[in-house]
Amino acid sequence: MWRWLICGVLGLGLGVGSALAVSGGLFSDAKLVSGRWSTDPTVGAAAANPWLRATIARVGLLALTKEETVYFNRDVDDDGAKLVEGCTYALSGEAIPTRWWSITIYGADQMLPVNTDAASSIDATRALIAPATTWTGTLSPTRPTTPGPWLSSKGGGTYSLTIRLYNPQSVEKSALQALKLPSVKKVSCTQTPASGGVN
Amino acid sequence: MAQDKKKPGWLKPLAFGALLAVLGHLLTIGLIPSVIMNIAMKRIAEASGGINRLAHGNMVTPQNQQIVRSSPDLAYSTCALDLSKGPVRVFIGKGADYTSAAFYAGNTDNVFTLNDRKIGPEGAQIMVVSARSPIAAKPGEVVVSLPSDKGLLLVRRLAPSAEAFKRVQGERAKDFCRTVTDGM
Repeated sequence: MWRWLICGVLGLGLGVGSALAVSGGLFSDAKLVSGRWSTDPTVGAAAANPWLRATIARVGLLALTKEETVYFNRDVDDDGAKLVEGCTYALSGEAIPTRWWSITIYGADQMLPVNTDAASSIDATRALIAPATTWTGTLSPTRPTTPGPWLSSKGGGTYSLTIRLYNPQSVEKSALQALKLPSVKKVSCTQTPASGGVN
Repeated sequence: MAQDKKKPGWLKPLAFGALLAVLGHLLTIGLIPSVIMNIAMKRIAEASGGINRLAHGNMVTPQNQQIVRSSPDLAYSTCALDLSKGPVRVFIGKGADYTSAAFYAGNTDNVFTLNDRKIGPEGAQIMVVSARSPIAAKPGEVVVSLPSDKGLLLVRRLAPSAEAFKRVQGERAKDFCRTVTDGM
């Protein structure tokens, strides 16, 4: 009897656990990459199979279709190292062929890092003030002394960035891959941050 | 002559475990979208004071964020839709900047989105119907058909600053979401 009980419990745990792991996006292979940024074109769409539908429900709930908004994400800097709260990064970008864009920081729990800096995002209206066609900013846990928009990572732990491109000129794969999205270059680190989990 | 007593083995219990693993996996994958959507709908209905009512959110901050991956640059309005007692009428006023009204089915699919480029100066009149309910739209109304009775409306308006948010509050003051039987 105990054999049945052990196998049953382990089997059920394996089934539920694997479903949660798969739907968490860990094994998503529908990525479209532009530099260090990547997107899943199925986010917001009527998913073709139950696994994609579950993944979208967990990591892209209430997202828009790519024709309306394309969501690119990254959790590494330009050198491929994880983005962490203890480091300061230089941001730079240029005009993007889209109606409007914004970059937002999210912690490992997919929520905005809890702080009172009022700097959880940078958007085109604040970064690219006409006639400028390029911009530079800072991603750091403390307010920088340098000019330009600031994205606060205070309370972020190990975090990720999402850039939303509203009404992009083209959603063709080649056009999205060719986008020149903002760079995130590490400037300095003050401490070895604790791991914040998987993004 | 005594009969050999057959010892219980691992083969059948292992097969049973494998069967439960497959069933558990499929059941969990199948339930995730509706469970997550139901939680979201419940929260939104509570915030709106009920179903088929539009609630306007405040500026999103780390302190008041309600849902994963919300954007601080957008002003959100939400309506938990229940079409079981008939269609729902929605009005979205024209905004000075990016505005969209996105409709989600109970399985989380984004079935329809209308943005400000397709909203005239008089705003958008939208009739939301379930696939099994009759269409009773007025002339000029956009008809949105949901595959299920339950769903969500999420309105996004660009508001990356306090000034922009104040303007948006005026733009969305006349927006509504209500059942047709409410007396339109």
